[in-house]
Amino acid sequence: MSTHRDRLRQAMGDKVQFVQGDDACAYGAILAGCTFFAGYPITPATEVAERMAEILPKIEGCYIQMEDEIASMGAIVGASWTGVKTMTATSGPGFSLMQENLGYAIMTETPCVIVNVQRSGPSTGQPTLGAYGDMMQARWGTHGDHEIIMLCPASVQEAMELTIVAFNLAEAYRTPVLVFIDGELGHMRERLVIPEDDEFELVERTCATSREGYRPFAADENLVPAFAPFGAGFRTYVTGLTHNEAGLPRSASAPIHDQLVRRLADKILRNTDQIIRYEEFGAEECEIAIIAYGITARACRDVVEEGRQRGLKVGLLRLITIWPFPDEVVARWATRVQAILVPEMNLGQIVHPIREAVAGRCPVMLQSKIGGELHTPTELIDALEELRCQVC
Amino acid sequence: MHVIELNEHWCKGCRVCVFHCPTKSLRIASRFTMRGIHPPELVEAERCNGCRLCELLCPDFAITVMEAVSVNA
Amino acid sequence: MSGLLKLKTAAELRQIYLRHEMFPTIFCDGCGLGNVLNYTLWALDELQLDLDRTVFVSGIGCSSRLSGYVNADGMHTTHGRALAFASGIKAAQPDLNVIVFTGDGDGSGIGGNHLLHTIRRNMDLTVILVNNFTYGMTGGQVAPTTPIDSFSTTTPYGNIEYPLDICALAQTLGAPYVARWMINQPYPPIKSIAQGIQKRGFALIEMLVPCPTAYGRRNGLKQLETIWQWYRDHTILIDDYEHIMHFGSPEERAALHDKIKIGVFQDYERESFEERWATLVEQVKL
Repeated sequence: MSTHRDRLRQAMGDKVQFVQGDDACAYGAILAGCTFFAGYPITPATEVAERMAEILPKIEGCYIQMEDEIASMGAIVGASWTGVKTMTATSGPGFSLMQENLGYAIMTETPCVIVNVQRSGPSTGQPTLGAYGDMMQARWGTHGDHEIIMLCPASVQEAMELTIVAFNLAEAYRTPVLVFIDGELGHMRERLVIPEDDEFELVERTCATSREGYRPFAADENLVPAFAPFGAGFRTYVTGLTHNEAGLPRSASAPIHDQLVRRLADKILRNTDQIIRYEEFGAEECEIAIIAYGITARACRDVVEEGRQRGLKVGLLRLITIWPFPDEVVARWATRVQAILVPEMNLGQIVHPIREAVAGRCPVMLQSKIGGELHTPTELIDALEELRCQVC
Repeated sequence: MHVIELNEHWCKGCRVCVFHCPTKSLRIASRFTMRGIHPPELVEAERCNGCRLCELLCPDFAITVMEAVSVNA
Repeated sequence: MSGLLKLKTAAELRQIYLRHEMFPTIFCDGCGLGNVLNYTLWALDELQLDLDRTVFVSGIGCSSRLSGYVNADGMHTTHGRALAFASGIKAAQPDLNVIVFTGDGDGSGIGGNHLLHTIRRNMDLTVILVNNFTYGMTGGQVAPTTPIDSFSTTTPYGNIEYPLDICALAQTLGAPYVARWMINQPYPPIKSIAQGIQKRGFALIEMLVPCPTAYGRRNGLKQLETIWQWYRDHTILIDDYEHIMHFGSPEERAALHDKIKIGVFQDYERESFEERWATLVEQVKL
């Protein structure tokens, strides 16, 4: 008799496939145990929904196409409160619409995953082309003080792996987690190897064990409250208003608001060592560093090799977790190098927290590229040469 | 004979019960409750037919109509 | 509905169904929102619904505070989005009873598109939509339901827009159960809410609720007695309405022009989203 995990594999198909980044995000969700997806079609993220619509009924999950992205975000938050793992996927215009209920998910400590396959904006922009213009919207798009977790894969394989990680972080910290790719990576086909169950870890949210004295928003030492799903008799009241540990509205209380919102931020900020992921190449004897993320980091990887052959002492810090921002890692690099190049597929977004972390220790040069084309290795080498002339 | 039991913590003295009483047995009392409002009171206990409309219409779950039980000494 | 003869007392209802730490309510004098809660609880009691398996979902506004008063799982969501959250809950866990409290602004204004599509999809939800003709919590602005020529803080010279008939919309969209009631009479709404909960698929119960504070005071209906009487004088049972339209004199028919129809407008069977999804899963599951 086949187990549920066997059925997941059967639903996804061959162990080795040639698929798009969007498909990989869907596969990652299925492997992580996601059984509920609500979404709305949008280029270039639609294939995530298509894949989920195909797989979920096969494994007795639920796919629902909502009337818009506002409703999609609402539906995954509602569904998550029944105790299941939930996801939605969108692109820039849809992500704008999700901001309202993303804030609700943060305030109500609802685990869920949002994939944003970015395209150029503002507005409708370039629907079929990639961009990284939503990096700051991810950080500050929903109103009010908050922290957010965001992961940026650089390959199809990594899109799948980091979607699994995103679910784990969402469950561990009871918070929405963002997986940000772009139209290029979303639509690019690469070899994908679906891992065996013993090759990755799964995290489940901590659930309340006793109804006696249960307070739904009283946190443990890790600052995360134990979860009680709807229908289990805990009779939890969930509100986006400022609430006390019992979950009841206390919207006029300054101390309760202060305590709640600081805890929501601190549960992420105090666990950055568990959340932050990055990769370093050529960190030794490095004079000029590139700090990059997402698909841009792929060309940078080649540039490290090529630059070194040309006598440029180049290194690469590839950021995987963008939020919470790895400022200590960036600061450490800043003390060792003479200059930093930041190539971004936007007019300069992550360069700002980088400059803040560098704090004037060395020059930071932004290399913007917008319009839907990727940085070429040649352009990057030229920028590095220019930077070397400036600092050496 | 009927009596009304009033939850004085919840009654806000809105008069919905007084307005709807079909036998006009309720009125607003001159006394204050702990919440600082004038609660309803049953003044015409013989006229009250125990229809419970005040109980059903109370927006605050504050009124319960009960049959009065006489206790012999 | 013989259960109605065995009504519990308000004191018993309080003990069983209410979250005592949330009381007293925030509602103004003369507001009918507490009545909607009251009737809902009597309906729950008549059905002996398991509170552990019932979730109350709401949006934002005075009416959306109702979910917090019931001692069950509750979700007080964002403005207009209650149906989206409720759909997620119901689709993910179809054996939960999901009851939505919403208002006219919440449910048919900012949440109008969700209302439309949740009905079309026929989600098995019971939606108790409280219509008080105004945005009460923000202080009495014009709503999609505000009668023409009425005054509000944002129509200081009178409302020039035509109001929305929410029940007519729900009927057109094919909701299996559509009803509207005033709150002056408890029994019809209690029975109707119970029917709505039992109905598989989407049930809409619109409750006309007086708001003397935000709406009434700008429209000559400031006194509790005046505004509650207004609902008696300006509503008519659908049955009576049709009778007069068929058999009444021209004068009697003309007198209906400012009356709001109340009663059960639609009641039929239609497979719900969850039932159809379950059938699909049976066909394709591995």
